Amino acid sequence: MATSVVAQQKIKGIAIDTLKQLSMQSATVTLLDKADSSIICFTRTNPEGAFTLNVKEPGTYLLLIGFKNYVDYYDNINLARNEEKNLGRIPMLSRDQLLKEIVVTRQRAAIKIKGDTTEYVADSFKVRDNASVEELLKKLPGMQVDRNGNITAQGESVEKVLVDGEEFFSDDPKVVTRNLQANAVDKVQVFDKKSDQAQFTGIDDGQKIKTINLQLKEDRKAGYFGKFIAAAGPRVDPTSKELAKNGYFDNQGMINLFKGKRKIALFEIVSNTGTVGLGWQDRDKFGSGNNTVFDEESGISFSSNSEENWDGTFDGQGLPKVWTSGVHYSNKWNQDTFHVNSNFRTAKQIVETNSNTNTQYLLSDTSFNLSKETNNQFSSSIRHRLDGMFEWKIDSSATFKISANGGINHAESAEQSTSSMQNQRAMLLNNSKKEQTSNSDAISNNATAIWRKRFQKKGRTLTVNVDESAKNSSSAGILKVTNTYAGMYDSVTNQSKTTASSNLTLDANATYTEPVMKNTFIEFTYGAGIKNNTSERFSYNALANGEYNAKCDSVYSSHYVFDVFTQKASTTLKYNYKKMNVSIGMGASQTNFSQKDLFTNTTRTRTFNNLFPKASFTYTMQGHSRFVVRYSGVTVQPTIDQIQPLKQNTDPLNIVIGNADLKQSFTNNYALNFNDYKMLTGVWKYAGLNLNQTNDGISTSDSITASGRRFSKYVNVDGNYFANFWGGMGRKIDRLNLTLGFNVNGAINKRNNFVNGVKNSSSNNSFGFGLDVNYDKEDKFNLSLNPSIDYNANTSSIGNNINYLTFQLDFNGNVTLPHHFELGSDFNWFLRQETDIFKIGNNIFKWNAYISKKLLKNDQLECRFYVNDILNQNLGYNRVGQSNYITETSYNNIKRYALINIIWNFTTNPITNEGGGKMHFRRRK
Amino acid sequence: MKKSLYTITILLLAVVSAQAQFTTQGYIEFERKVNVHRQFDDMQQGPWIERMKSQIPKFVSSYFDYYFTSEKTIYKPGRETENPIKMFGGGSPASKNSVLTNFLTDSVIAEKQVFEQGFLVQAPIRKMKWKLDSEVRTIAGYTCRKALGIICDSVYVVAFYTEDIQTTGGPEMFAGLPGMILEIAVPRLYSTWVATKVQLQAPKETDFVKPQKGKKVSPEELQKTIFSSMKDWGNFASRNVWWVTI
Repeated sequence: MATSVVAQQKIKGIAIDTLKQLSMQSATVTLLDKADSSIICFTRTNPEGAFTLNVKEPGTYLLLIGFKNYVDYYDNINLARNEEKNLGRIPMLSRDQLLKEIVVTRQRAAIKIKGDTTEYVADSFKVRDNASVEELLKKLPGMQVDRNGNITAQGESVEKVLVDGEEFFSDDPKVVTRNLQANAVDKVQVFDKKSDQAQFTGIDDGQKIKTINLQLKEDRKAGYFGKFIAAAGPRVDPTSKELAKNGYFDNQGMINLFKGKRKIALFEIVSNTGTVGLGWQDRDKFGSGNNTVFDEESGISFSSNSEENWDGTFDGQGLPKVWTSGVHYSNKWNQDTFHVNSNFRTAKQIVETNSNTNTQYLLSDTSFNLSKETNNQFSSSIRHRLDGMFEWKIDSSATFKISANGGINHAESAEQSTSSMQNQRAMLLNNSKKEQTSNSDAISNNATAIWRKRFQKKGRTLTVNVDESAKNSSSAGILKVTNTYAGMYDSVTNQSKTTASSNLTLDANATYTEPVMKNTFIEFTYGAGIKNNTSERFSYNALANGEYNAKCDSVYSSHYVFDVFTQKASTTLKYNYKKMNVSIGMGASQTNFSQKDLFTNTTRTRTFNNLFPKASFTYTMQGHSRFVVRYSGVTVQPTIDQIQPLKQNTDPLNIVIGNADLKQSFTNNYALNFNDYKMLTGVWKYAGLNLNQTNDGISTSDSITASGRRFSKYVNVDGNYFANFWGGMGRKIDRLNLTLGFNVNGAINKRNNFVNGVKNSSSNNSFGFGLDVNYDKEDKFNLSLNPSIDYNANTSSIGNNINYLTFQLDFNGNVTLPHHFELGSDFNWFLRQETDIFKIGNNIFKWNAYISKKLLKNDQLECRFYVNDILNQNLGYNRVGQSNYITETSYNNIKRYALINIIWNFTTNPITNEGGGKMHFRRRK
Repeated sequence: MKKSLYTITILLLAVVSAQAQFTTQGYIEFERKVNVHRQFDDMQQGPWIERMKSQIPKFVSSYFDYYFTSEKTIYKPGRETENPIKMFGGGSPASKNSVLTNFLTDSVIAEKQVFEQGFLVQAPIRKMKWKLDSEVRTIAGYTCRKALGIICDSVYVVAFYTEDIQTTGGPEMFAGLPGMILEIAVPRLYSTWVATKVQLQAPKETDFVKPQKGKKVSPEELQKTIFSSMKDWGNFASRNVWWVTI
């Protein structure tokens, strides 16, 4: 009863083994389109070998019948409309050739995730022409860059930026992210770099460093590219005396030369606008003061501030002028068996600072003294630093690597200050006038050698590393102080001071790993280290004739040797399974102190024994989620400044006294961390908690005389702890071109000290909340808004409580205008709640803006007019609350100025704009 | 009949009875291999890539269990790999997929984990256009024919199926060939699913655990969701759409 509407065709037949005359059950009958051999329909034969295929359309077909161990039968079939073809008894048929090669074309995805690596294709994210890498990073989903250039990826802060997998002016990522052009970058790869040890042994220790690798475009690797900026503006700030008397300037240049695997880069910055790359931090200007931290986790002791920091951020105090230049060289040869990476940097920096400091010292009887100080300082320094790395892959199982760096510093400073102190009833306690000059020199070097060997058995490895660091420094200067106590009597200090110190640290460690079970490894570490410190501090009093006494003043002089010898051994069991890394270990150490006073010729030795339990647990969840719990113990040895029994009178009103009886402190660290990033929705979440509890923490015992002088002696105290937490979440909303997020943070810091013999417990607590809002309309607007509010509470068991709120609002935006014009502006609005003693300088509105025009082909040249701090409100001010005192400082800084910038981006290869705009899902036909 | 050609081949094995047993139930283990190095090659050449490649094996394997009867089949994660390489931020794409296909009701129900989100895909059995190829390959002792298919308009799928197993199933949501699919290759995903063993014992009813977790979607809705949430990410979206479509 076929209707005329639905035509129905049929093919019938019976598959038969013609030799045996057997009907074939369950043979496969497949009908193919003759034109492209696509399968139209199929069936199986019944127990009699018969089949019926219902075919929807008439046409030309191929029939295929297959049966196990039989040869395929093929037949051409022309099926007319409504035809019912009966093929009768069927044997077999030859094949047809229907081969078609599979064509796989390559397409570039904008984001890929490979293992732990998230990779962004740079050209897929539209940035302004000749934008810097920093601007590109701001565009990448899951990545944030704050106004100081600090990068956060997937909720974690990025600690390393590599170029083509190479360290590049290593510790200063901003040199790279702010100077390298985005259009030179092919891919941005974000990943968790495992520790070198984990990479080598293959035993995941759960320790990861968020790292960004910038993969440069191939065509940029043969030739050169770079940029030059010339910027100048008139003097507009009348308060600057020296540094800006000829106006402001900010000239920068960077050039990158590539040939194969050889890479050379040069940069130069000459600026007095506080441009990054200013130089090293000044913390160890006088050549001592290193805290030795013994990190049980890595088995290496290191000095907490011995690494001279390349991070050239200028702290904003005073007026700076800087000349910085650097050279980078890296190469690989002999099939990458040898690898060299080297950087040289040199910087000269001058800073002129005028500051006013008010300090409230809390005393033991809820009273306080208030001190006011005015200080003018001029400092200049020249620093050179060379670092290098050489790696040799001896064979597939062993590598040898040496990295070393060395630096030479010279610094000069001169300062004048006046101060006065009054008590709670506004009665004058003392007046002071001080002049100080100092010239100092330091030479330092650090070297690390690592040899690693992997054995046949998987997981069995041996690593030996030796670390060396040495530093010699010396200084000479004059200190002149006149103090008047309560207007009654004077004391005059006029001393010539010389210091010489040397520190040598040598550490050797051997680590052996052995697989004990599937997924389980045991690790043995033994290490020994010495740290020798010698410190000479001599003070010579002035004689009546203006000369200085050849014999030193024994009260303020000392020659002291402090040697530390540490041995440690530890065993760790590590278990890696699926999403879990568990590590449990125990270590023991013995530390010997040898303290020799060369003035009194006395020697004392002490021994400290410590146990270090440690444990960590890492759980990696679905997608980009990780949960980490960690415990470790750390000892901190006193610095030679703290242990050398010397009265330091550089500030005669605040005399610091070393304590030869100091013990090393022991800190228990507990950490908890959670990170989560959702790929589909772009939602990020993170939270963390950190708790440090310290036994025998190094603190001070202060005694304050009636005339307001303070004597501070280092002592050990128990009960110090520090805890902080942080968390945040956010997401992007594609529809509205918005990214929204918030963050919370808090810290509780409890410190004990003694004030006039009374124990004082002070806590400095803070809690903050912030929002991130980003609006990004391609080629038109880019706006970001970051409000935050923080509460600070400082309480002291002997004194007042000082609590205040701060509010901060950061805005940043730019608009693209026709004819290659662009307008941009940003402001920082800072409100600080008044307190009883801090009534001024609380609110700042700092507003900057620019307009720019791009010229030439591909906008290679940019002219920009920029005004910094339009309202001239940038007030240098900060406020610190610590143990039993609270300090506010106001200082001079860079305020309003205008600059005209000429920015030229150049390359051997023409800059192409292809690939601009986001790539979309293209379907290949 | 003139058009028909008779070919007589020399059978290596003894002539088998025409009533040869045709399998309709059993267990198959699929090994999925992803060529990670090829994925890296997409990132172009460079010392960086070479270094990454030197640290990881070329292929990453994972295993899947597959039970079948003439009425239904289930595909689900199998034994653990000894040294899993974490892909896609902790888990390989489609490594948790569990797919129940019912031929009687012409329905598929599949649990798919896509990054952080679980989906429950419900649909009729996919009707794909397959082109038959002349190549024949032996997989796990079974002679298989090659067929070429296309998903997502442009992504080629290579399937090898054996007519010796009558159930018209296969790994993931691949089905509908005149026999059991014992190998699937998706070149653009650098991935293959190959049967490493076939056992003929009858599956237990408890082997067919009905997938029920996840947000209920149709395949089209899932593709759309994935595509729209990653549309800014260019062809990364496409690749993920392919991974959820298989």
